[in-house]
Amino acid sequence: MAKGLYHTNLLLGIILSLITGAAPYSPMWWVMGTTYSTSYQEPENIECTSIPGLQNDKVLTFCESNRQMLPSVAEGARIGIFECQVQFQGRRWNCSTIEGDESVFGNVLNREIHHYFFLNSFTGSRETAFVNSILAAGLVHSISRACARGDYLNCGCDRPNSDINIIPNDTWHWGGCSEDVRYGARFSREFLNPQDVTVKARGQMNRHNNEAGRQVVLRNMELKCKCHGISGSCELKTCWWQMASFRKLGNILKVKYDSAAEMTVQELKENRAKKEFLQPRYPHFKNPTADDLIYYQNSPDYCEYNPEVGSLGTVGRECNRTSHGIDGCELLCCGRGHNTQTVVREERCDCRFVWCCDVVCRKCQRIYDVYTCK
Amino acid sequence: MRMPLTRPATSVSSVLSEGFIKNSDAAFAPKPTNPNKNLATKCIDPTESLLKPFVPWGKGACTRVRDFEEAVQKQIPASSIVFSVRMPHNGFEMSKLFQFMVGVLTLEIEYDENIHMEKPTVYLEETYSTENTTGLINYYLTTVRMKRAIVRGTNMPEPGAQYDCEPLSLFELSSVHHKHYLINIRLPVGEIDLGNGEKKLTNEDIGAIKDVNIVKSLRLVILMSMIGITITAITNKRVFAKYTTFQPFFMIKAPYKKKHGLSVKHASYSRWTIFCLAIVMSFLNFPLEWLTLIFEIPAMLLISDIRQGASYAMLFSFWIIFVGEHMMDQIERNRLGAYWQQILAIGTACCGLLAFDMTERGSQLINPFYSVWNSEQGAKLAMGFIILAGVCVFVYFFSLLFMVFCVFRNLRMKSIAFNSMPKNRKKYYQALVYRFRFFIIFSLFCAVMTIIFFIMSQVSEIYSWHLDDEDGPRIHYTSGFFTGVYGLWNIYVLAVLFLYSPSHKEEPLLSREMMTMPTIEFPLLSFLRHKRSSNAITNISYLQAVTHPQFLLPCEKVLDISSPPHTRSG
Repeated sequence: MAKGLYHTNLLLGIILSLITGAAPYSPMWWVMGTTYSTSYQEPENIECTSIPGLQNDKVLTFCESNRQMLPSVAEGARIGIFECQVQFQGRRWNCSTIEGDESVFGNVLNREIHHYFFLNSFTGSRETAFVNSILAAGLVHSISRACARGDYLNCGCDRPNSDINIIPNDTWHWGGCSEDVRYGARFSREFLNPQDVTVKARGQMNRHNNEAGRQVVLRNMELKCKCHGISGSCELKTCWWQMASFRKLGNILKVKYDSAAEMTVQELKENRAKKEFLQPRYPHFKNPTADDLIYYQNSPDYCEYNPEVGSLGTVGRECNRTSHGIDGCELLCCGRGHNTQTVVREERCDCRFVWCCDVVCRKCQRIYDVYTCK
Repeated sequence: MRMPLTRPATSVSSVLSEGFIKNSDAAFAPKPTNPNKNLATKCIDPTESLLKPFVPWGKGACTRVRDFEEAVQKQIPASSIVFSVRMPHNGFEMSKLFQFMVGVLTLEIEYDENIHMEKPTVYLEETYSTENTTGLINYYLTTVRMKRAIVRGTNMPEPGAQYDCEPLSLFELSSVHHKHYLINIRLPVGEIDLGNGEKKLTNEDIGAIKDVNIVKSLRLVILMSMIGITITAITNKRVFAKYTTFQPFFMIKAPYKKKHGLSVKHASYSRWTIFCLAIVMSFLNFPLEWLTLIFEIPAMLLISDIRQGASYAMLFSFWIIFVGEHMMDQIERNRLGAYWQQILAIGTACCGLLAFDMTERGSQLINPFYSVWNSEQGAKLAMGFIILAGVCVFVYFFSLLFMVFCVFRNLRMKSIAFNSMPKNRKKYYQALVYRFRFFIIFSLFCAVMTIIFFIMSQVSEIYSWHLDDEDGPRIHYTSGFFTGVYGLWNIYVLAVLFLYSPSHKEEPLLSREMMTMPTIEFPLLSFLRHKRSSNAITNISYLQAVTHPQFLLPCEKVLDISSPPHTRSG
């Protein structure tokens, strides 16, 4: 019932957008990262149908059968969005979220909905690639960690198949038990892939970039070892794999963003149906591997406010006067110049940190010059 | 007439076949340790006292927070957060097949510009409880307060990045007898009474801890007792058990020699040593660890250590006595006093290691979180014991090598005189030379193989860790090496038993001959010895060059081979 209602909503949205001529923001699952609180949610409280963006039956079925995992899905979206904002801090496009927008980032990540007015919408840009990959990676990360914590019954122990049958013991499947990234990756794959089943170029790009995000988690596992022989010697050594910190993964994906491969869309007619597929634009470059990001449309310069392409513009953004980098006023303000304003800010200083939850600080007042773009 | 060495031919082949079985098993043996990573759940303990167990999930789960931001929002102080880990994971039960469990703690600490960590130490309060199928049994240990230094890795000057923290040893349980284990850790903040009225601020400089991981490492019982290989090949066990169980019985023949009235007095020491070695090795091979499948024996690790130590001590004593008896010098070697230096070295090393082991493992019987290495004085004391043992072993090996060197010199000189010997006597000595050389080469081979195995296992530990090869048989080289070395030394002892146990067939022949023919085999040498003793050295002997003092300086009295052991007493 609720499912049907949802579909009608979607249909209505599309029709509405066709009439008004505005490109619709397609709702995305990662809105969970902004709407749900970080605390433990009872799984019963989240309805799969209430998650925006879960369009087809396949993903809804998967979601229903994994309802208990939804808090971790929300957590994955949250860390993905947060990491994106950290990585793009001080850039023209700073991964800012739009309040009340179900696609979170505005049109940057708009799923391609073909309608006649906006053929040239920028939907396959580098930014899209980055956001997709970091969210897929965030999902792997949060699910794997929840598994390591023992929150869920169907995961927890990362065990290779061959080890299981050695001991005829039902309750204990032995073998190395590192963080269950394989489960996390499988979950991420099964949750995200059905959302991009189209034969359109954008679907292919999303699938590839999601997988790239997962591969980055899988390929950057860190091996930790600890010797514990009786005398501190390495007579007995235990090694285990652990995931790199999400900041590290974000850094790696940022590098991949900078070196993303540009593709071109080739159209192929198959049984009278038009099928799109992506090919590297420059054949003399190395082909992108499974953990490289791909894109096929150039990014806008993000200088002006243009919701059609997901650009919020840089007007009013704070910039760094002394920097010659992208966060410098010159580049960030796109040559429009900047305003200078002197503000007095109250800040915490001389902080003494007590782990976890207390930061004992004094309050100091500091005078700043704040530069904002015109 | 049969050579004394024909008998080993059959035994060597059986030993080799056993060796083959062992090593093929070893390749399919399980991993030596099974790491198992658990991320701690953050429970809330409003009493800040850890007076009851906090279960992270399942029945009676604690109230928990997802991360510290939530704790800040809810104004929960750091002291009331309990890191809780329940092992194994949800849906699993611990198996009694595991022999011991080692816990390693890793802290995820985020870099923060505001925090200056100088020599950060973390102060933990830990408890552990166990659970059986019937439900939670609050088998509760005293709260342990422990201080561990966090060794900080590379400093990354980027906010939000994580430090590369050294994993900390957390606990060591010698017996994994229960279905579930629950570990609770609290990091109390503020003033802590250290017991003797002294108060101290704790956990103020440990940085922004984000999460706590506990990696437990389990080792299988069967791997330790070696019989575990029988799970894959049960028949092999029978072969193996037959040999190990009957080792001592091969040797029981040795004392019989005396009954026959034969003169085995001289060599009896090494025979008794071989006998003892066989007993000790049988004791080592006895699958005592299997008892942990039925009973909870927390002292099993200690017992295994002592067993292992005893077998090393016995092997070392055997070497020194065996080599000493091939010296054939003037020193009366048929008493322990002749080897007092080496025995003293072995004894001191063993006692030192035993004392260390008793403090470490012995204390862990009462408190599994204890380790000598955590306190400064304890670490110094432990290091002292280990260094003492190391020095003793070095002294021992040095003197052993020296003795081997002397024996080789001695044998070389004897071989010159072989031609002038009667046939039987010549054969007897040739066999002696041969078996000694074989022994040395075999020992050396085993030692070198052990070193190679050790290095390879250390290297392969890293390279055998692949995430990708999910399917297909996985060969665990480390345990392969582990069992390989173990098997190698077992074969070694077996071979020694076969080769050097007294023979009741050949020796009477020789002794009878000696009794009927009391000729001196080394007339020249005997003559020379006479001359030497009367300080009238002539230059008629071609042996003189060999016997010249300048060649003999390091090992004096080596030359006195004119009276072989049997003729002297017989």
